[in-house]
Amino acid sequence: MFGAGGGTSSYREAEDADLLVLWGSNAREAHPIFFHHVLRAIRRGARMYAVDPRRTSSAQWADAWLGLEVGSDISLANAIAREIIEAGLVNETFVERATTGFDEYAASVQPYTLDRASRDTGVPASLIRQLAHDYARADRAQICWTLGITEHHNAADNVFALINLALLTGHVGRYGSGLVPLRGQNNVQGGGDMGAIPNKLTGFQDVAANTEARARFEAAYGTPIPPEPGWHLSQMFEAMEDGELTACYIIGENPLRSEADTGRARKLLSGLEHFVVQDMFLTDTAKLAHVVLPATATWCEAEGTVTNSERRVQRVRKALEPPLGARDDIEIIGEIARRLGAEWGQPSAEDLWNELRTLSPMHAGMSYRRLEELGGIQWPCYDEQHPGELFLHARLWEEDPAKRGTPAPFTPVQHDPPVDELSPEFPIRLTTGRRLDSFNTGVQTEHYATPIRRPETLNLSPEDAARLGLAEGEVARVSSRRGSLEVPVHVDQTLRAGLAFMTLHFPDQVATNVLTLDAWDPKSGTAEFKATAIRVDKPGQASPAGENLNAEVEA
Amino acid sequence: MDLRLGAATPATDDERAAVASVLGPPAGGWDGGERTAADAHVAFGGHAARARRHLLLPVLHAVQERVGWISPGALDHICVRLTVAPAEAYGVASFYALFRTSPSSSAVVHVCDDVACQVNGAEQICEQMEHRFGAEGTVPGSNGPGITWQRSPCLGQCDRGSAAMIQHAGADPGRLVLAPFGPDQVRSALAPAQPATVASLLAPAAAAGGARGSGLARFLPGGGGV
Repeated sequence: MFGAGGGTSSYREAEDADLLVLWGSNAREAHPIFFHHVLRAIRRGARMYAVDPRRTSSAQWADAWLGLEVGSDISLANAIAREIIEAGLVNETFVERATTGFDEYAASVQPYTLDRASRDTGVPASLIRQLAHDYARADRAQICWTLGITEHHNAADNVFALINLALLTGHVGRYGSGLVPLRGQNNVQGGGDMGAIPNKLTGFQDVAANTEARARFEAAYGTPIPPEPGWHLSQMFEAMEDGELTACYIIGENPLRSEADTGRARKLLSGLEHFVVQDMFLTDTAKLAHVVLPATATWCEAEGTVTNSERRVQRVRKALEPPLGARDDIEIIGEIARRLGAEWGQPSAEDLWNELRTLSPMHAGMSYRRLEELGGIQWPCYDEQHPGELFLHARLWEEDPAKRGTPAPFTPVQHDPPVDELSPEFPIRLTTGRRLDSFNTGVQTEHYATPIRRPETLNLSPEDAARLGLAEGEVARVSSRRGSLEVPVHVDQTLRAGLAFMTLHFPDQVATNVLTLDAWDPKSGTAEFKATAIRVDKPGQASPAGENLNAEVEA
Repeated sequence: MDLRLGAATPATDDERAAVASVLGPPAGGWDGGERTAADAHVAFGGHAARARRHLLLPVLHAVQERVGWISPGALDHICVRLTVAPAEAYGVASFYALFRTSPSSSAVVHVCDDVACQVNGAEQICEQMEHRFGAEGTVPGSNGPGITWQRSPCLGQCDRGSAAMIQHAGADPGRLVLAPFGPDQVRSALAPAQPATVASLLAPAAAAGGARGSGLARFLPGGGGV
């Protein structure tokens, strides 16, 4: 945010916060390490709000749970902003010195009265007001979010809505206050930092706008770098559809299972002229590939670094020899380059890291030796004297306008409900998520036994289960506008009538993404996994949509 | 708070009423009551809920006195209402001798076999109890007399041992201390318990106690300390 693609705060700051707002995050299950810090905060007296359609196991720790309707986050955030403004709780000094666009923003949230937000979200107006006042009055407050915010067709707008609240109250750039997007994997942050974002060079340097950075990369690599951003995943699939993208090289990703609308993903990946997958497992995606390159497990069979949610770069050390045939990613990529006519030699992980340090200023001070000595370093770290930054954007609080730099802009955003509308035919809102015992498509967790894992279920509220005559364990047919599948029912007290829940952990048993919609956010490229309109029937009952719904993709 | 609830059957109305007698009626579905429309979008908990954890012992007493034991369903209900982990609540319920975690008759005879009562023949008394009423802790119905008795740590009657206490559960709970105690006292003591009968209970006790001075029975109201 504000030009830096990372969370503002350190884990330890969460422990010293007075108020934590978990918004669209079931950190208890999806980010258990971060949640340990949350628990320490709670033990020290911090209050916690949970904003989530489900009363998740995280929400059960909260002082108050706001069970909003799926996709009504912006209405809620704007109403909180309006209430903060109306109640005179704006941090006026901060807004005046460190932000731009307040007037426009204030006008944009005017329509979002507490009553209007209460209608959009289902949450009582009094509780919205309470959250607004508690957030604005707290000395140190953080908003922490995850995929509940970002897996929507308007993901970026959702994030802007939360950033606006921090700007309004000055809860950013200070110890203990902040904006904390929790990363879902040990190195999601690192992947982005290394330039695996279509419009960024390594170190979050914009490929189009930052001509100086582009020139630096061009000089280092002796080749021109096109200033146009590349495609993100959703655009790549569209390009496959248009026949524009015909060859694909996938490293460590299982899009056949993780993409929304599995049927479409299978068709497009199968239609590629040349398809290479590099992975440590023979994933379902790899099974479609023309060439599979077995890779090492990067967390134990290779040297390197990972970067976590608090921007901390950490060393990874090789502990095991890989099994026969599996090769280091660096080696594989180098060999491909050699076949293509470029001789890169045999660089070590540290050699490549040092090359990166010459190109990415925010990593410049992070030698392997320092990473080891300091137990990891939080970027930015501009030189070998720099200790790294505990939290970002402290400059916004500087008295001196020159030191304060570019102010942070308010970004007005409007409520925009989910694309996959509920209708009499598809009356139930399905949302997806994770469970503590499993990870994403299960590739990395299905081989480990755990006593708490149970097979995939359609979680239904007691009210819906009773209305549909479905008992615990009974198999139901679930249909969306795209596909249909059968899955056992689990009656789940944490759901309200009209809200259902599934995971994508067990694609071999239940291909959940057959149901989901690939409507994606043009700003972030993320698909709307969190909001699917479904109907639930007893198997064998004729569905009103008839034959065309029987497009069961996983034949 | 993560609550891993495991009871096969939910709390009975009696058990819920006993809990409510201490905590008041539940605030809604999230508080162990009926789910209502208001529960769909809002719940409170956190510090306010955890601030009531000290009520665990009073609530366990209330259920013990009303029902005679702490069933798994009752334990789950208590845990939901107080946001206490079931393992923790079970630890408390199973630690104290006056809480039972298995079914029993509405009256349980606790026979002290602690040091002072041992000196006054507690072992012989326990042998006699076993001879007459079956093994200690016998589930009611499986033994003819339908009496549940069990050995007990000190009942605080060391000056008058060997002691016993009868714990009555039900709508009108109470505790009857018998000291000195002999197995002969059990039948008459378990006749409809009324404070008025206390005096008549003393006679056989005195007889059993021989010349050791007059026995004393105390009728304690429910809710006393453990």
